[in-house]
Amino acid sequence: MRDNELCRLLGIEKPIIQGGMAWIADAKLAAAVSEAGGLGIISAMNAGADYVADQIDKIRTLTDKPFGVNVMLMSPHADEVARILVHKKVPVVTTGAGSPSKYMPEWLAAGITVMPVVASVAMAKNAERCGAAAVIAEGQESGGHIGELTTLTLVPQVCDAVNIPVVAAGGIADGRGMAAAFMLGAVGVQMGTRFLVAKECGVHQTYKDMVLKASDISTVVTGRRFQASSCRCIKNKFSRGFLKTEYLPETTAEDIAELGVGALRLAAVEGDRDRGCFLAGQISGMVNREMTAREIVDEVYNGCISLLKGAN
Amino acid sequence: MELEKIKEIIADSVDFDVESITEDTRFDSMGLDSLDIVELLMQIDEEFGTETEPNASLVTVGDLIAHIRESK
Repeated sequence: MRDNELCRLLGIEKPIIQGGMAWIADAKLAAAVSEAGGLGIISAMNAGADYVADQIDKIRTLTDKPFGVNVMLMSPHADEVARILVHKKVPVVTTGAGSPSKYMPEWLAAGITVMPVVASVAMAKNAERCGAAAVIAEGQESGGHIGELTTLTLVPQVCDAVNIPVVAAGGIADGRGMAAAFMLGAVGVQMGTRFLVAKECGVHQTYKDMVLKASDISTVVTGRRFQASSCRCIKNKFSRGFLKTEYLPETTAEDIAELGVGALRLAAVEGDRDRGCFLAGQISGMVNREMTAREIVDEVYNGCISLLKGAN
Repeated sequence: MELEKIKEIIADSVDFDVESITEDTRFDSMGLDSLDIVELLMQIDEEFGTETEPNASLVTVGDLIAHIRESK
């Protein structure tokens, strides 16, 4: 692990990345993860360039370690956010919800390390062709917007298909998951749900409590019917109502797009147990203790190391 | 020529009545999701030596053919 490819690429100590969770992954959480030796990520979500610039300035006051920004490519502000990342000389960018090809020339020219989140082999190959330094292969165990493949099936197939480092994501929350990811060919992991309950995470306490109390079967996937926006979230009044509406014969793709508007903010900021959409991964059932980011990074990393030693 | 090859590639990757594909056929009418489109484009690029990025202007098979002709 001392000569880990991802650590070398990103200039970090432990190959653990914190997922760019919208409304959750802010400068404070990201700084705590980076300070712990991993890579903290600020989510640009649907926000404008001003918010992202503020967050970048803020993280630089909290840590001098590398960090990243996650760009949601479907965001209406993606163009201006892409430019601000160059202007602010952000070291690492991860992308979600599409191909970042449009922004790659500018980002690469600025020396930014780009790691797209991919859900299929073709997406991974596309990312490599665009000049990505690594890909984050995310299985459908993860929270939020997901593809169809599981981490166990996606990661080795992506590893076989590309010549750049592969980070595994989706369903990983402890040393066993991380060691398994390495066995599949990954050189690092990204975790979201586990960091959601970090002490430094400013998400509403109700959100944390829902993850901490969740069991293995507490999440559902909404949006599958229209192939567009499959989203994993915790079962509650909102998600049950969503699913009921989704499968009514008269419901259209446009109706579905309307249904989710604002629900994530209601969960993360307001802690609205009934009307909020609480995105979280299938591993929630195993995430049952609030710890500091450093404790999480150390526990996962050390657990992985001792398992890998045993495997040799 | 291009249409035939593209039809062949689509037939190979999705269960769709190939005979009904024309230049006017929309990708969304074939039931392809965004991941299917990326896969299809990567296969097309491998075949034609092009670099096609998924984007909003590629709506029909005809759009794709025009793109391939331009890129060659």
